[in-house]
Amino acid sequence: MSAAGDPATILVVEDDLSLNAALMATLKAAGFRPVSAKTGAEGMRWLVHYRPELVLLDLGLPDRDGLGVIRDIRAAGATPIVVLSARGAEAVKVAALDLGADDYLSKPFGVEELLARVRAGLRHGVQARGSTPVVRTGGLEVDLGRRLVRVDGEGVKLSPKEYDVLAELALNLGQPVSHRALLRAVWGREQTEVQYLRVYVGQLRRRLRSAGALVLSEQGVGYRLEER
Amino acid sequence: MSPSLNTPSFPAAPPPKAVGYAVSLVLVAVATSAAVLADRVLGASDVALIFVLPVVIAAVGFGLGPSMTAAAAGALAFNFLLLEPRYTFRIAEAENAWGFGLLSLTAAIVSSVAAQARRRAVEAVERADQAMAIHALARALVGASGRADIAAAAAEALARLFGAPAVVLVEGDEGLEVSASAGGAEPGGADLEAARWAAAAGTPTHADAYPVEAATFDFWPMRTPTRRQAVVGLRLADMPGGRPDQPGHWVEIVTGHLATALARDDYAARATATGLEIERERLKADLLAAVSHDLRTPLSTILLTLQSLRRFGAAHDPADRRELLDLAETETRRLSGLVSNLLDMGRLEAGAVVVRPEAVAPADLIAAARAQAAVALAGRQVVEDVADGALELWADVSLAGSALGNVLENAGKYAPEGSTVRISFRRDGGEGVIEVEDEGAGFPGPVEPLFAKFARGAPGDGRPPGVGLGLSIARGFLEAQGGRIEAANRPGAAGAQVRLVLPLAREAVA
Repeated sequence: MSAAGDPATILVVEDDLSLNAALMATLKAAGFRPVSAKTGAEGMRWLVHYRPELVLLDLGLPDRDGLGVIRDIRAAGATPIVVLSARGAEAVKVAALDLGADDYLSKPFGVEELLARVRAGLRHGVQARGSTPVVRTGGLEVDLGRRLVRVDGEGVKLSPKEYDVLAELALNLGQPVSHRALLRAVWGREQTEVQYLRVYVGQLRRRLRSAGALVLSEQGVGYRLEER
Repeated sequence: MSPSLNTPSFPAAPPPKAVGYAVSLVLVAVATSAAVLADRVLGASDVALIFVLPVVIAAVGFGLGPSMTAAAAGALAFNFLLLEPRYTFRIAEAENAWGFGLLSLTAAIVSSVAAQARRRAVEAVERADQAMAIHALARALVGASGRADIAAAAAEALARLFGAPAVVLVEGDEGLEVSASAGGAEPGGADLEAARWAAAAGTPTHADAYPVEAATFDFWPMRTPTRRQAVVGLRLADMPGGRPDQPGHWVEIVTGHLATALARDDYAARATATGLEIERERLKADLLAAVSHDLRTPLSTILLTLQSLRRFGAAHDPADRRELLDLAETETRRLSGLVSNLLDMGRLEAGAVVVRPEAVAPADLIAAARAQAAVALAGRQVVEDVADGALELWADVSLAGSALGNVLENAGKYAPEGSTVRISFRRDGGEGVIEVEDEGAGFPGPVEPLFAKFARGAPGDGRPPGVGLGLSIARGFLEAQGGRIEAANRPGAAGAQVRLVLPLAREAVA
């Protein structure tokens, strides 16, 4: 997927042999170069060896805590991480995002969902290196350099806080941002009530009119600006 | 506490009156004899002092009446035997009249002071006794657990304090009921009616009075901080000294202790119930987490393989296509195994396991179990060692096979690929023992907790697939047919050793 056209390397860290094999075959068929690891230790080894463009990481590993693996990958670099976890385990997802994971997939997931998250993760990895100052999705345009927001070419007036919330989501286009991360980025502290955040997001959606539907709630985790 | 009933402390009984008078007269007689002897050497006024002694002794020992009697008797004897004119009761000199008057006055003063001292002494003993009774109550309540124990301690304290039959009623699931009695209390129907009335009205009732005139007990109601009602009753008419004026004081002290102890018991019961509830909820959450992980992982694989085949059908090379199909099949079997485990657990818990034992060859049982555990055992070398091949077990093939299958699945899950799993059979007395040994890490800690539901070998992070029902089901199935299961780490080598013990078929034993 990189500019030269050779396939992006994706490290799959999944202890379940069947799911691991299914992921490998699917990613290969979709044109990626997958690398398989069955334990956290093996994953860290391949991370150094293959320098993958993205890591698909199962949080339930036999040899160590998946959250610890996230910490180690982050300590080694900015490689995007998409976490695989069970639906309903919201607290773990939030912890994973807070530790630096970029996105998550809830089991069971389908091929389209998997590929969409992998592509978003790869793009984010590219952006992290040279960020574009203008983010576009659907009819929404956020000019991060000049703090301007347009919907269908028409300027939208936002309060400073509403803009900050939108800018944080736009920086992570297509990926979830946890409540805590938003509170920290916009208010500079995490103690502020999540309820407070809901009020701002509600106002933001109204002001964005037709583009308001792009701001998705991730139940129990945070918000995501949908990529179109 | 029972001896206290023999020596009730409230009120202290005075010595019998007749004895006091008799002893006083004897004392006077002794004093008179001494005076007659002394009269030969001493003057009359000195001799008179001798008669003060019985007065003082009687006053201190028996109170005013006997001491006045001693004074009168002494004065008469002195007058008759020692005063001129002798052998008459006439008093010739004013000096002698003085003597008699002073003797009587001494009797009155000494006896009143002595009586007061005696009353104080008696009261001090009483108070010490009462304090002891309360102390004993407090001590008994510390050790008491449960309403019956607490009520019994309070009833005994009341009986000891008052020397009267006492009864304690505590509100239970079916209203107010007699929880304890002491001092031979046998409350009748009228008494229970009075007790209920006292509890309902929240005011004490008296025996033989409104609202229940046939009641023989006085009742005092109370309510604990936990809103539980209780009533204490005393049959005060049975007290040796009759009804005391103010029994309420001591009753209140006892009910105070009673209320505190009952409330503590209630809180303890609530804490236990809350703890159980939390434990149940935790188990439920564990099950949900385990099931969600272990159902979703195979489901993910199945969904992914099928969608992948549809979307990239042509892009997959033939080997990958075949592998994906195999994966979907394997995972479907795994799901099915998991679901039957959950159903088995449900059957065990509902007590709905039907056992149909028959004579079965160990080799057949092992073969059935290996088929069940084929997926988990893939990549492990399985060695069978059936020493007593001719013997037959007395077992339900399906249940015992499933139990052994679960054990083999565990061995496959926890033992590394390429290692050896050894299944052996041998006879041990009237029983057959099937032993499964693997070369995994063995059990991490105590083995017994692993037989609990949803227990897994490695907690938290490393989660080999499974809900943690395997050993629990194996034990349930074996015990249902008179067998048992034992697990330990292999002696002298790494790995687990699980033994399934089943009875031998009768022909084999004979």
